[in-house]
Amino acid sequence: MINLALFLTVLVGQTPAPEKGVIEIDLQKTPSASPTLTVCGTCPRRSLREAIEEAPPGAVIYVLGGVYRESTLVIRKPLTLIGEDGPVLDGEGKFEILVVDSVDGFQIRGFTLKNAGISFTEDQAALKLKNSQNCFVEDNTFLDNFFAIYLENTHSCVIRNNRVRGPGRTESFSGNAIHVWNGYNIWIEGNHLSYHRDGIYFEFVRDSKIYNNVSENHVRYGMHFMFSEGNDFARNVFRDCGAGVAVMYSKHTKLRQNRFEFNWGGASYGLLLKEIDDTDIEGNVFYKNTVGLYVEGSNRVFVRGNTLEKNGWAIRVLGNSMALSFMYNNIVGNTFEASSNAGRSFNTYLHNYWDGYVGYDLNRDGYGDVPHRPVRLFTQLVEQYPPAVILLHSPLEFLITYAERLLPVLSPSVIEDDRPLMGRIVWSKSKDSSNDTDR
Amino acid sequence: MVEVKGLVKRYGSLTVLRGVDVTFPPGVTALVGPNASGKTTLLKSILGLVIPQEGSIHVMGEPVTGHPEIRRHVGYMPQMVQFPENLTLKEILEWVQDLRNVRVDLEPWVSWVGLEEFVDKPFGYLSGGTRQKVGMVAALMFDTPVLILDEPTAGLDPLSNTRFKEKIREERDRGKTIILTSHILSELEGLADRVVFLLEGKIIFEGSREALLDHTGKPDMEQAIAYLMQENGSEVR
Amino acid sequence: MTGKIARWVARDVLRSIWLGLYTFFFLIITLSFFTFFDDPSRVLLSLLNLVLMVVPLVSMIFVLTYLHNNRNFIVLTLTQPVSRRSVFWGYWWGLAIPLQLALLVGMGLPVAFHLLAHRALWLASVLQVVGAMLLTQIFLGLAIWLSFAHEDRLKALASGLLVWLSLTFLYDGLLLVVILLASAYPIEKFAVGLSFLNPLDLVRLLLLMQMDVAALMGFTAEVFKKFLGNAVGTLAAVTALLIWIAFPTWMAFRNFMKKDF
Repeated sequence: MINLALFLTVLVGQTPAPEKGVIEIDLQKTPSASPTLTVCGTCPRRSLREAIEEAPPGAVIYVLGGVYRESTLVIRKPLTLIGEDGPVLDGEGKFEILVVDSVDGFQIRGFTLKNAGISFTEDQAALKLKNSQNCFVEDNTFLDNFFAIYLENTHSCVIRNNRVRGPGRTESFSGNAIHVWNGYNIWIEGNHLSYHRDGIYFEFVRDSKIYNNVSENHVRYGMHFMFSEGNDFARNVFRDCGAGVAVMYSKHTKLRQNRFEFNWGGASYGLLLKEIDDTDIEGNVFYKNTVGLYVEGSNRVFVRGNTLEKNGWAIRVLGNSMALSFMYNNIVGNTFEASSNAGRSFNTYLHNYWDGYVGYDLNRDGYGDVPHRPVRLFTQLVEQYPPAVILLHSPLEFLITYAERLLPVLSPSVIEDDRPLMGRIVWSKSKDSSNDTDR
Repeated sequence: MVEVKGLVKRYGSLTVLRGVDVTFPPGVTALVGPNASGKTTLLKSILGLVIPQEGSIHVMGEPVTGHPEIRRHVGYMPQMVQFPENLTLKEILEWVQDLRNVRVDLEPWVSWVGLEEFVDKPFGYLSGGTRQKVGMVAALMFDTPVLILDEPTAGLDPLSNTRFKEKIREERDRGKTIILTSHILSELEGLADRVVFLLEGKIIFEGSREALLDHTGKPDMEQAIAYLMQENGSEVR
Repeated sequence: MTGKIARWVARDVLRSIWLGLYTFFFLIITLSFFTFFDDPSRVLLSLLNLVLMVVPLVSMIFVLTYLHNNRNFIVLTLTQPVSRRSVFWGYWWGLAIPLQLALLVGMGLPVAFHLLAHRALWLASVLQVVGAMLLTQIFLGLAIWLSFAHEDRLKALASGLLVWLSLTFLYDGLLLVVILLASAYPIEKFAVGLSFLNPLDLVRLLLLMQMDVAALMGFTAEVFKKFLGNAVGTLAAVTALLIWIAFPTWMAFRNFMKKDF
């Protein structure tokens, strides 16, 4: 088991080293000896709007504490905005607050942006960056905005350590916390996102890093991305969202050591994969989701070293997925271990630890001697005839399951792990701390 | 005094009592007849356990049917004496008193049957004969004017048997109406004053012991009853 | 008089070793579930299987056996100056109270103590105990009915087991067959409707709806919740359970009143 643990440490990988080389944000365009301006309630310059108009490209504007209600501020030149003592930009529930348009080199830190207006015709945001590059959004607070941080046709940006909290209304009344449409080289790290529609929303995003964020309590998805490629998600927490995390029509994605937890509801998924190709899902924890991992129409997805615990369904795999490799995962305490609508499987399930395994290991090599069939008869019935779920936890279900224990041939063979592990996998450097997070 | 008039009882298509008219005056009456003659049904009708289709039953001049309180006049000892297993003898006798809303001094009764040592034992521990004695006490202790005793001596040891018969005679002499059944015909000798013979739901003979002996020309009751049964085409029990 | 009889019957039943074992069994099981499972919902779901299978079976067999063992005494009671009505209700209460007490001590107490410390799932926990009590009452009624409907002890026991088997497994089996056969139609509402007819299904679903397991039941749960969400639905559920108590009891009572013993 120790060798296995070592092997897995290599397999799963250590904490991904920040690959700074990929993102080259050219901050040198803001000269070191930049001109500075100061805005405050008692200063000669009280209006941020005026400061922005007056500032030469590359200037640094210091904004001191106070509430600024200046409708929509549009920035069309490289600028650095630094808030000191927590200045607040208030959209008064009507306006977009900051719009950065076609700028190469923009920084904002230390601000609170709140009450960006709701609109049903356009995506009004607290901070919108469009057609821009080389930007830094750091240490800000976003409160009760429609959209919070919105990137459109923008690349090479760092969004770090922001606290974003939405109004938490219904889907149509709230926008996304971080919304990126058509961009690349985006580094999103250490943000705390909550109570928006989606926590992180990506559409047409390439080669970006999403590390160490916490995204929780969103109306819809903790993260939602589509038509994206080459993104790397690590050590994020996606928690307690209406529908969990949905990843669609994308490829070459890495999802490592994230936690998908407490996404519990009628249509919630820890992680939903739809038409996802060539993707690695490693070392994640799926805890207490209605469906831990849902895979539909995806090819060459490598699911390894994950822990799926106390979910309704640990995994659901639709039959149109191919060359899925599901290995060395822990599947513990789920209501249903697995379910699939397929007659036969073109996927590999091997060397996982299933706590529902009732086989034996006579030669003591750590692997069960008979295959494990995680799809139970009742699970299969429910998969094919959804109303049959009305018998959940009934004596009849008990009877069926008991019969399967006595006669394992009764279990459907849609999914089969030929060599299941006999004991739970414990990783040497345990990032797997699912046991202490019960709520 | 128990008066039965025109009693008819049917179980489905089977008629068990076909118009029974009989009077049980004070004294000991033996109710005899072969199996399935309707003896049990007649007794159960008097006790209110069986609800007859036609006819009337009066106990001490009061109608039985629909009036459970009339049963305060009746003491009953069943063939199979059974009480709740987990209650003690004392509790059982208290229960029976509760049912009648009557308090009785238990001690003389317990010592009469010699059950002093069993008073605090659960009924389940008692032997068959002992159980029978408890049943006896439960039937007799309320000093009711009418006593119905269904095979009372089965399972009693000879000494208890003698004592029991003494008691019956004693009660008879106090003017009680006692209805008795027994399969052992010799048991009835010296106990019954009157005989009621029932066959296929009808009274074949009703009269005093003397009348029965006259009627059959036999020297004792056992032979007289045996003769009646043979006469009527029944097997002697 | 009913009260007097009930008190004596209850006193006798409470001393029964079988009732003691039943109480002890539930006490041990419930306590060990709370000890071994950290998750209160896991405890409730594990208990649910027992409540749905053991409680009805024990209530049924216990009552049938008791009534048949005491048949001669009941007859003797009826020869005393008491009405049949009093005897019937005396036995009904006299059996119900000890059985309910057994549940309250064996399951209610551990659950209550646990609730003092952890408020999680309190409604479901209470529902679990109340559900078990309702099922006890239902199967008590059925058992009394069957007991006086059959003179023969074996026939009564066999029919009791058959009724238990039907409500516990067969009914759900048929429900499953219906669902499989009618899979082409939207059958959820119909299935939910059918579940209202079986008290075991009803108690189970009422409990599951209070727990997060409901999320696994998707549209079916929605239909069920929607129906229970309005006053009519709640009333229907309560009525259905009460009818399941009242109807067998009423049948038993009617039979008892005019029966020839």
